[in-house]
Amino acid sequence: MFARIEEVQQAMEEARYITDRDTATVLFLSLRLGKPILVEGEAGVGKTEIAKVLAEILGTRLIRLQCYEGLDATTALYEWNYPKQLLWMKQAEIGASPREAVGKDIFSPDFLIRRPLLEAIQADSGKPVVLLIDEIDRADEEFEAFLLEVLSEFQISIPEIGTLRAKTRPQVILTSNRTRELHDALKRRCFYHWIDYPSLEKERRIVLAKVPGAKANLAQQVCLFMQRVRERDFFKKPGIAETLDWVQALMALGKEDLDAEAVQETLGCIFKYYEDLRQVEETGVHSFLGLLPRQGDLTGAQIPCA
Amino acid sequence: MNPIENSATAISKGGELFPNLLLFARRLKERGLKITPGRIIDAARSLAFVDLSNRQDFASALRANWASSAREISLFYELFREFWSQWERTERKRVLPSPEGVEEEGEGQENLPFFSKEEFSFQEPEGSGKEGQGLRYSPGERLSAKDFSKIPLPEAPALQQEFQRLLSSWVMKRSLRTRPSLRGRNTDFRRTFRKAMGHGGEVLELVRKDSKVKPLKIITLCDVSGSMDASTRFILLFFQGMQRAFRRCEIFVFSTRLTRITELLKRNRWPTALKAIGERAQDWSGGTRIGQCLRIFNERYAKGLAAGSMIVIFISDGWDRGDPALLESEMKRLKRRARRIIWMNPLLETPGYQPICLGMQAALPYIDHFIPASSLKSFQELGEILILQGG
Repeated sequence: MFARIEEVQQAMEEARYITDRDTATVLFLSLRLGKPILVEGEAGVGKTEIAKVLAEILGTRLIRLQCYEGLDATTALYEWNYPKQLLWMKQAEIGASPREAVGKDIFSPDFLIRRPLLEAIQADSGKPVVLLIDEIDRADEEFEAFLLEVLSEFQISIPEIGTLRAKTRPQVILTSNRTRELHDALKRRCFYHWIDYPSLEKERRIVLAKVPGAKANLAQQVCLFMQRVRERDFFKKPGIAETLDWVQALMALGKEDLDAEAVQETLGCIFKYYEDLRQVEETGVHSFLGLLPRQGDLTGAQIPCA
Repeated sequence: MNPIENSATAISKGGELFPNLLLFARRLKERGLKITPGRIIDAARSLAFVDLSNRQDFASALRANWASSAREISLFYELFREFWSQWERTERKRVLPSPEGVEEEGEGQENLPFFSKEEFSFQEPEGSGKEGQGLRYSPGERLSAKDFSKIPLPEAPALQQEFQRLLSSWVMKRSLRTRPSLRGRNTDFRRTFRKAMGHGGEVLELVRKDSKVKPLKIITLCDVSGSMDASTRFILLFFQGMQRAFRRCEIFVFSTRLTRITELLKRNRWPTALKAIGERAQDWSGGTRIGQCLRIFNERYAKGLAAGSMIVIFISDGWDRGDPALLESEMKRLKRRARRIIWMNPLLETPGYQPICLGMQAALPYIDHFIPASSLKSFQELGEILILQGG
C-alpha cells in the first residue's frame, strides 16, 4: 500500500500513465479510505485507463462492468445456468435421486454464472480487485439505485444461497460521459474527479510514454496540432486516444515529419464524424499546420521533460 | 517526521483547522454545493492522509470530497482561494462565524437581474382577473380558451392541476427489462425452475415473461429569449406539472446558452424555482442562438441515449440570431436520435402567421408535429400526440 501521494504518482508513471498530482491525490485517498471514485471527462481522455493502470500498480485483477440501457441484475450480478440445471434435473430423474437433493444441487454455487459485480465481491486473492463500472450514465436510474446498494454494503443476497459478503472490499472506479446527471446519492458515495484534455506538455509526455519508438519531433508536432484542433469547434474533439492512434498511424506510414500530405492521408484517425472531416477540408489542414517546428529544428526537443 | 503522522497529530489536536473547515463547508453549501455531514466526515478523514502544509494536496483532498461536477470544481477553487487566503491572514485570531445570512442573501439577490419581483410574483392588477368570470364553466374549460399571456396569475394552481390531469395518461414504451406475464413471448427460466422444484424437478409449467413498459424520455427545450417572454412562465409551469407525473423527463431552457433546469424544477416550489432558474440561466430574455444550444444538447446529453428512446419538444417562436445552417445540421443530427420531434410555436395561432423566419425554415423539415403553444388546448393536442407514440 502506498504511504504517500508521490508514490502513487510515481507508480502510475512507471505504468506509463502520465498524470498530475491532483489525480494522484484522489487515487491515494480512495485507496486509503476505500471509497469509490467517480471519474468524468470528455471521451478519450483516459478515464477507463485509470482503472486499468490502478489494477496494474496494485498487482491485482481488473473486473469490468460495461453499462448500457436496460442493464439489470441478471447481467451485472449473477444468473443461474439454466441449461445446466435442466440437464441435471433430467439426469436426476433417470437416477431417481431424492427430490430435496436435486433442489439443493441445482441451486448451489456450481450452477451460478458469476457476472462482474458478484465476481468482484467474491474475489479472494487477499488483495482488493479493481472494479471498473464503465459509462454508468448509460445505465438507467433503476440500475443506479441497485448499484448504490451494492456499493454501500459490498454484499449481495441470493435468495437460494444466502448473503455473500466481500472478504476484501474491491477498489471501485466509476466512469461517466455525462450524458445525463447522476443521482446525488451516488455522487455522495464517491470521490469525484474530472479529467480535462491534457496540456501540450502532458500530452507530449503521454505520447512518448505510450508509443514506443515515437520520435520527439513528431510527437511535438502532433501534440501541437491536436492542441490547435481542440481550440476549434468540432462535433467531437479528439481525445488522447485519437492522438495515440494518430502517432501510431503516422509511424506505420513511415512519416517522420507532419506535413499537409501526411495529415490528409490520416485524417480519419483524428475526426470520426463526416461533418468534422468536411469542416477540416473546407478550412484546409494548413491552418493547423502553420508554425509547427520542422525536423532539424530543435525547439520541440528542447522542451524539458519534467 | 512522516507527513502522515504529522497531519494526523494536527487533526487530533483539532486546533483552528476544524472550525474553519466547517465554516468553509458552510460557505460552499451556501453556494449550492451538496455538503452533507457524511461528506464533511469523509473530508476530515481524508485530511489525515495528506500533508496539510501542502496547499495543493489539501485543496485536492477537499475538492474530491465536496465537488461533484466540473462546474462545482471551478466554484470550489474560487471559494477555496477566497476563504483560505483570508484565513491565513487572520491565522492567529479566533475565527467567529460571520453573520452571513442577512448580508450574503442581499448580495445573492443582486445577481438576479432577470427576475424583477413584479415580473414573477403571483399578483397581477385586479382588472385582468375579471375577464374570465364565466361561472358556469369548469376551471379547466375556462382556462383552455384563454391565451396564456393574459391569464390572471392566481389561477396558476388550477392551471397546474389541469396540466397534471392531462399528463397522467401519457406515453409508455417497451423497455429492455422484463416482468412475469401470462402471455409473454419469452420463457422466464428462473421462475420456471423454481416452480419445477415443487414437483421434484419436473417442469410442468412454463412461466413467461414480457417486456416491461416504461415511460419514454421526454426532453423539453424551452426558449426563454426576449421574444418569448410572454408565454414562458406558463410553459414552465406546465412542464413542472409534467415532471411530477413522470420521472423520465428533462427540461432545458435556452436563449444564447443551454441550461438544464430539471433539478431546479423538481426540488423547489414554483416561485423559488423561478428564482433559482433565473440565477442559473444568466441569459434569460437575451437573444437566441438555437443552433449552438442544440449542438451542445446533442453533444452532451443526447449522445448516450439510445436512439428512438426520446421525444423532443421544442418551445420556441423560431426567431434565431444564430447561423441557420448550423441549426439545420443539428436538427438533422437530433432527428437521427429522437423518436419524434415536436415544435410548439406560440405564434402559430396568430392570424396570418407564416413560419418564414430563417430559424423556423431551417428546422421545419425535421419536425414531426408543428403545433401552437399559446393555450391549454394546444397542450391537450400535445398530450394526444404523445399518447399515440406509446406502445
